Amino acid sequence: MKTFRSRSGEVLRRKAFTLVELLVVIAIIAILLSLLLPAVQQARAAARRSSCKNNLKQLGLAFHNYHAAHNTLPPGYVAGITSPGRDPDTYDAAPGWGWGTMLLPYLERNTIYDQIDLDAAIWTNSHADAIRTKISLFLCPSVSGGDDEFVILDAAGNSLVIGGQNLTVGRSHYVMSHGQESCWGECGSALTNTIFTSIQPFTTTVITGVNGDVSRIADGPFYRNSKTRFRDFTDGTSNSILGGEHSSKLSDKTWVGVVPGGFVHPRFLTPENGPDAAATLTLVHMGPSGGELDITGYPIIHPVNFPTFHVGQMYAEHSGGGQILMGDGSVRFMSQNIDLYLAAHLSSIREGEVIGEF
Amino acid sequence: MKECEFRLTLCLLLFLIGCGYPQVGPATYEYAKALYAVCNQQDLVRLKNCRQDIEQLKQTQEIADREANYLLAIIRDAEQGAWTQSMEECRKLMEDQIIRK
Repeated sequence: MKTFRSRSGEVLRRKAFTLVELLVVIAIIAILLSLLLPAVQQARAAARRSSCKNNLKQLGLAFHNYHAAHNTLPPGYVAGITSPGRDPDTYDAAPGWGWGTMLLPYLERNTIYDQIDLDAAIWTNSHADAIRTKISLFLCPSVSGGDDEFVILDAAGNSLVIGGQNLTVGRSHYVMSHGQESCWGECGSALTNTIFTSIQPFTTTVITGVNGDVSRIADGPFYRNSKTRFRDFTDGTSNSILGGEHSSKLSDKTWVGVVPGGFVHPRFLTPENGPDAAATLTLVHMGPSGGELDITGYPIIHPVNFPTFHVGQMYAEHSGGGQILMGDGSVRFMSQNIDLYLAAHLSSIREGEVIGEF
Repeated sequence: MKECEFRLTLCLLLFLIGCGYPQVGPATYEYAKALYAVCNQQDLVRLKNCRQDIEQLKQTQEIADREANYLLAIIRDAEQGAWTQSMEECRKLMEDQIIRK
């Protein structure tokens, strides 16, 4: 603090800071803030990641409770594939309810579940309020793409009209695993599909006359009309993925189910991604899938955050990877740089692969 | 400084310090994807095959020189044992092709 001397010789002390003193104080505060802010941001991100992980853990418990009650996991989604109203390409049909709806009683969401008639189609008028409910347990706080309800789109990206109306559904940031293989957009009667029976070494087999029976192709726990039991996890429940994350930053997913004629559109485009069939509203796959080969002829495996950014893959906004739910109910962090074959092995439930550490 | 001048300067600066890959052709993108898997598996045989393919495509101008050089630089790093760095470069090349709607 600066001192002055008056004309009478009296020493005066000015009650103010000099500019230099102020600048020094501001600089110190700026340095402290620059040290503190990243730490605060990291703590907030860690809290969000923890909450996100906890939701997935709750879903794992609900799956186990469902299995205890029904002796099977819930279906990926339910569709009467022989009904006349089925989608001619995919064979998706009413009622369409997905794994998320089936879990509601085991997530203490009975009030919503009681408003739903599982025998009636999702798009029945009486379901309109229930299916647009925002359920926090299906929402990951780390996601920046939004957590509000959304309108299901058609192939062209317009609002799908079904039952004479548009359909608004509640969002989920979690998706379940179809395994390595996918079968959704093309899974009708005429399909002849080459599936990978092994990826080390690469061996394939040709499946003909699928007739909408996805169980002949899927090698994961959830698919259309699946009834997977824990005893079917011959690779071991701790070595098999049930599901994981899919941020709405990439595309819209729902806990409700699958609507025939619906399409999932990516929110950002890459040279490779594009709209995919309705099953990807609730399900994803890890690859390789029949026909998915890279330019050198090798199968494409796309673990969490793989940079092709398909709507049918896992995608999380955590630094370096995403959370995955294992069959034993544990939640693990999968690095986006995980060994590709290991990721593929983890996504199938009964192919007898040797699983390494991850 | 006018806004457009400021933006131009910023773009020039970003270009000079090498922030990101520009838009590349379909073949380059496909090879980046294949190289990602090759580096992930640390597969020297496939890496060699990729190098031969890319050099040939460069010669026949099916991949532009500049784009081929991106891929060959990634391959060079991988050949020197920097597999993770090469994988990250492939990821970066692919991520830089994202088009926001």
